[in-house]
Amino acid sequence: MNQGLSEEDAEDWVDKYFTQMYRFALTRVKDQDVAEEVVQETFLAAWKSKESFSGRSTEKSWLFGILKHKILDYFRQVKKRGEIEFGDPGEWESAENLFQANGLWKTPPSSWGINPEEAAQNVQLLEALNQCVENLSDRFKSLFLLKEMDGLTADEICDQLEIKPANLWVMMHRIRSRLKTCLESNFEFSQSGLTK
Amino acid sequence: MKSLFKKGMLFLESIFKMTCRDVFPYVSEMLDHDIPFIPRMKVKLHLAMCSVCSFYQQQLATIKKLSKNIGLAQEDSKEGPELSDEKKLKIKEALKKEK
Repeated sequence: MNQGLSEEDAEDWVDKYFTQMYRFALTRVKDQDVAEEVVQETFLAAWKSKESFSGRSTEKSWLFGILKHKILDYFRQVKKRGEIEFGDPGEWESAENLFQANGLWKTPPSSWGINPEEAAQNVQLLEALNQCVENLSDRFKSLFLLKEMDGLTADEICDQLEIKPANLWVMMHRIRSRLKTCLESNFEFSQSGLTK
Repeated sequence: MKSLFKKGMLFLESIFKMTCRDVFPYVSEMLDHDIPFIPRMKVKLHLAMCSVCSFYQQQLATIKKLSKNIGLAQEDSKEGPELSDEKKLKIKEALKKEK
């Protein structure tokens, strides 16, 4: 419980975080008016539930946590309006094409020569992956952002977007597979590490 | 005793019968949630023996790790549109109405 937050604190949130939160929302909803609206709703929701801010997390991570759920709610409305259908995983013919009749890989994956921790520090690789995410379809991009970049749980996503968990696993695999192919076509990975 | 031995042999056979194609869907799914014990063990044993599938698993795990970092970096984005003081004022006014 934190009842010590004052009106000045709420105004201070706007001064400190509005621009950052707006930019973050804009990368997800792609419409300036919607992004503004989502951020405004976030501040209002944060103020109404200020007692829930325990101080265990930072003010910023608390506000961004609310914002991510508001963005999920935006996609729930998009689905409700019939603009994007999230639930249908569709066919994935390419998965069958990856293997020979005996179950072995046709083109076996080879090492990227870099472990996840090293890769996470590589700015060029991060930029390349971000670009690959941008190239995904709207539906896959939204799912990937919500789950992998924003860290929302599969339960929250499945519940709000009416997706069966088994379908979410299939779609996440398709997305990761596409991103892997995209990265490999944009970068040269070698045993000695990453080179552009 | 014989029955137990037979079951054990069948289990081992099922592990060695697992192909890369069989393991493929689980490699990604295991990054999302815990799958049941028996298939999890089968997949782990296959990955321990198959460097090719192990590379595939590492690549997907790398993409997951990178994605999380991109998301966190986007919370501190220094690039993007600046918003006018007027917009901020509008939100502050809306907050005042809630007080």
